[in-house]
Amino acid sequence: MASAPDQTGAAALWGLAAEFSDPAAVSHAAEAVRDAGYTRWDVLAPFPIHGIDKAMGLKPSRVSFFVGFGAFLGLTSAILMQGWMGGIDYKIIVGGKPLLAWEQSMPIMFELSILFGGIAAILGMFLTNGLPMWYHPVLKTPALSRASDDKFFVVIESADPKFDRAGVEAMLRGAGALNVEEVER
Amino acid sequence: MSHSHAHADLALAPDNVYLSDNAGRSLWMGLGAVGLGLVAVTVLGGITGDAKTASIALHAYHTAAMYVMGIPLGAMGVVMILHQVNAGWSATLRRQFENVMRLMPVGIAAIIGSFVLQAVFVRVFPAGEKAPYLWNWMNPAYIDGDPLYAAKWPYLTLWRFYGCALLYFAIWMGLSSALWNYSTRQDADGDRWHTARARKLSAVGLPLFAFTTAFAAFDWVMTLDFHWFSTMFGVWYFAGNMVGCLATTLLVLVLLRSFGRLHVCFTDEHLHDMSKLLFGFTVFWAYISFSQYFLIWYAMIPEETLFFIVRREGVWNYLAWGVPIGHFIVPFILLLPRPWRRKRGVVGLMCVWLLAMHALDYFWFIRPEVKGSGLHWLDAVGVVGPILVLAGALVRQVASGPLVPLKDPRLGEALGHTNTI
Amino acid sequence: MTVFQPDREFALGRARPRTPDAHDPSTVDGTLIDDPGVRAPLVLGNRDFRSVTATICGWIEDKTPKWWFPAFFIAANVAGLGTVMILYLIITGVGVWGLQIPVAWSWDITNFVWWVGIGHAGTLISAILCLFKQKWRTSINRFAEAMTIFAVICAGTFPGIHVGRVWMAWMLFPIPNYNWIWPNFRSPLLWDVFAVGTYFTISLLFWYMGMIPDLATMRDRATARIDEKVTFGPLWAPHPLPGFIKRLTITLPANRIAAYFYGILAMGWRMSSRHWWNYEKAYILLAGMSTPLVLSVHSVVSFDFAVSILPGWHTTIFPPYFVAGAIFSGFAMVLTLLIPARALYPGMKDFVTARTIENMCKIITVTGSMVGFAYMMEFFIAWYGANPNEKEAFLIRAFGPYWWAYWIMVTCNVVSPQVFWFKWARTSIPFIFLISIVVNIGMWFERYVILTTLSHDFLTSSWGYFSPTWVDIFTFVGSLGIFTTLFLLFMRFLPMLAISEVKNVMPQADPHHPMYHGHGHGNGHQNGGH
Repeated sequence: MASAPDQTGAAALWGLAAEFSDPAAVSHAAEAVRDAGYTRWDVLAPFPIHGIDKAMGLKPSRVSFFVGFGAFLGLTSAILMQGWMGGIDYKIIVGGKPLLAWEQSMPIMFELSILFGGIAAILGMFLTNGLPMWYHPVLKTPALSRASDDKFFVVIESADPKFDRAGVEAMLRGAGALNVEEVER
Repeated sequence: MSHSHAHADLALAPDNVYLSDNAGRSLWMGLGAVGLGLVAVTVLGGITGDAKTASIALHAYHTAAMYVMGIPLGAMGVVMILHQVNAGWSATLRRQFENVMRLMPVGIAAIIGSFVLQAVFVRVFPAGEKAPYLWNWMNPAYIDGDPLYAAKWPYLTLWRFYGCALLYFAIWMGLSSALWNYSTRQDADGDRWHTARARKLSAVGLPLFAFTTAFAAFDWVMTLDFHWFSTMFGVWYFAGNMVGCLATTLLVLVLLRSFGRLHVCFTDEHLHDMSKLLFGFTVFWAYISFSQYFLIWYAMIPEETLFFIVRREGVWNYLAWGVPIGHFIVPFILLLPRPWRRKRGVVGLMCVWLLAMHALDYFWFIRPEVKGSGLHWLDAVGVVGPILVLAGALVRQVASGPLVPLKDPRLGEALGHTNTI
Repeated sequence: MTVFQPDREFALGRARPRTPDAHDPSTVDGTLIDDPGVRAPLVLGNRDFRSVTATICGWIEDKTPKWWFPAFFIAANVAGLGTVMILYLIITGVGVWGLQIPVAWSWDITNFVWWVGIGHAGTLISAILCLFKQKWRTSINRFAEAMTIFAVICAGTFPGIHVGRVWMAWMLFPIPNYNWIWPNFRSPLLWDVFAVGTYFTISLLFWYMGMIPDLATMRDRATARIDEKVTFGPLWAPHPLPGFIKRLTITLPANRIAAYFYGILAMGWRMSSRHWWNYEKAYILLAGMSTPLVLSVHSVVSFDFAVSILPGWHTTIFPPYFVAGAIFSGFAMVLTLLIPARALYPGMKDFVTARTIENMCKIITVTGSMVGFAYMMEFFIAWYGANPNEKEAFLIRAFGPYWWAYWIMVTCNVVSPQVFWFKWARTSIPFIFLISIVVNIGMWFERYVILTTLSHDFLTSSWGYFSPTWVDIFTFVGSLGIFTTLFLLFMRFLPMLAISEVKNVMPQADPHHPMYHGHGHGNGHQNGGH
């Protein structure tokens, strides 16, 4: 099933990380990794690099669906809530206003759409990213912590079907990596 | 990759930033002729009918006049805002806003047309309370003994009304010509400081624009029913004009692109941003219109509510529902998905749709002032005529010069413009 | 038609030097450039990414600055005073305030609207300026968002305590209850609950989400030194405490605590570009939703007044006018906080440049003029509407018993921001600081003027005059203390500037920047020799 361990410690090997000095170099390397057909890999960067989605071949984010659903849910619950509570269950005329009218229901319809949509945006971001995940091999490797400072890394997982220790390292070095590190499981 | 380097030559190639000689000549002449013809039909239809028909023709024409005035006015606002915020992304698009702004004389002519038409009609028809006035407060028979008129007289007087109109026209012509001159002179001499001068002018121009737009809306639309008042009205006219001018400009850009012009200058990224602006201002329009209606609906003070009661009766009630749906909900849904905002076809259709809805919006505000009337064939003719003239003038204007500000110092920024998300 | 052969150099915009002349004193720190061909740099001091991280994180990791303790001491005491006032109010009853019929809404609502208004700048900066791609916002957005949250906390306090029986405040929410009653959904006061609640939640989430990458940076930096212990003390200040207390020191595993604190909050963010991709999408969507939210919140607050039939309150321009005023006061408050911070924290001037400050001054002038426009429209329509009560309400505002409040409002809100038409005013930091305070005084009075309209009731026999009691005054002062305390804690423990966003607007963050042409990627060609 798993690729045969060809070196000592390969079982503990989670992936390889190649360090790059700047966003241009790492984008260029990402294009190379994308073109080589890897699927389980990532680019670590201290900020969202402009155009990295194309360089990595990322699909459009699905966060918008969460937001759309959340906003729709908020709108529906606002309509149902005001309809049921103000129009059916507790009928009391105040200020000569009708029990139900779209005009007076608009503010809460709007606010709840935004509230639910906004919460869905953040939940959607966490869910699509698989967060929170406080334990991760990347977080365990001290060298990679520079990704939150000023360094850029391409990380290729050993679980990638095309992963081959020597080949990957050669490719990454060929793409201009300053340094290639092992990431342990 | 680096669009600005690779495509700069292509971007400013003559066959990309100019229409061919005599382009659209027959189109603009045709549009202008049909438009003027329809205006003539409106006038004749009004004169040959009874006083109420004349009033209908007048109000239909005035709807279009406000529309034709508002679009260049809105475009002038956009040009000034773009200068004021030092916008870079829009440098390649600004010329089209300027082209729309350049139609200011057409708008002014349309408004003067309203003045003249009213003057003609009230002389043709017998005087009295039913005389076909646009502004009923000008009708001595109508205001006789009206305490509200008496309370407002210094504002509702002819010298004030026409004097202020002249002042607005002068300010708008002055600002739009100066902005146009800075831009075209830069095309010729390449002096980048013209941009800085235009920015300085815009700083002064924007407050002037805000006040004149608001009072123009008060004078020309709100005083149609001089009993009614709303502090929001100027903002409402501004919001409508922004939608109108953005839809017009975006339509011009989309069409130019489909004629094989403005490659690189007007990319999907620019389209995306323009669609976002259009979307944003549709929402802004909805916000302003809703707030104005809502506060009056909720408070239910007779002197204010009357305005909306008239507009929610009979055939106008269909518009009362149709305008918010067409002007807000439809574009909101269609411009919400990101891929659709980047499709020229969808956006182009949306612009046409919004321009129609924008006319309906003004129609709903202006036309029900002819009390106790339903729809009339003159409504279609009267509204469409001046708009076709504007369209013809726009075609002529767009074809008359370069399609981008050739030497704008921020052209490079605009050529490489991309959206992160 | 003459065909013009365009100049390619103009198109590229590279014919002139892109780096501004820092020696020109009129550019202040090199950012106030009028030349339309040159873009001002957003980050000064030739910084690289590493120095950005080090500077911003350093403000938290370094020893607590000496001014912080006395500032915190004072602020916390004032906040305590506010808390005592609130307790006193709850124990005794709302009678301890000066509000009475006819002025049944007074400082509580004034303070509520004022604080909510201040709370609008944060989301405006992070959402609207984000949508408009105003990159200069990156150096102030975190700051402003924090301010927003604390201001909304202060705002929320007032309606909470003014209900009288505070223990019944839960009835503001549609919670099934023993009495079988529901809230009145036709009341603007209930819309307020939803609007302010939504605004607080979304602002908090927006602030937190924007902070996740920076919390990860803080976590990584603390983890790198996890076993280093930090010794606190001895107490620095001269005070009458015995010597052994003065010499007292305490050693804590501060980096370990910090690593866990920031680590848990960072949710395991690992700077993955796949994550960034979803993150940016969520961020822009939140920005897109927050923009109408900002508009709606103060509009709903304005509905509290404008849906009524009271002369002086019922006017259709209230929603956009309140929003403009909110942005106005919010930006002023950001400046009030930013200017001292910029002076106190080393290196902050490299991020918050003279241009950032100047832009904010301009926004203050624009929104102040909008507010002035609204005042004028109100007055004009009050006259044009020809309703004698409306007319009188406005005349009483300007020339009645509260004339002084009205003219303070006009002077502070409409006249004072006009000084920013002049460049000397936009570049004089002490002057800007002064105006930023003046503006917020003016905005407070704006709300006060609206509320004291109540004093002039319909019947002459019911006229009244509102005077605040000492409890009113100290509750308000106390809310300033609560705000300042929270803000000082924020400055001490959370990254004050959005580290990853600041990096993202630096020229070296753009992979297509000419400085990387040597890498030979893509199809961009060499542009040497110019």
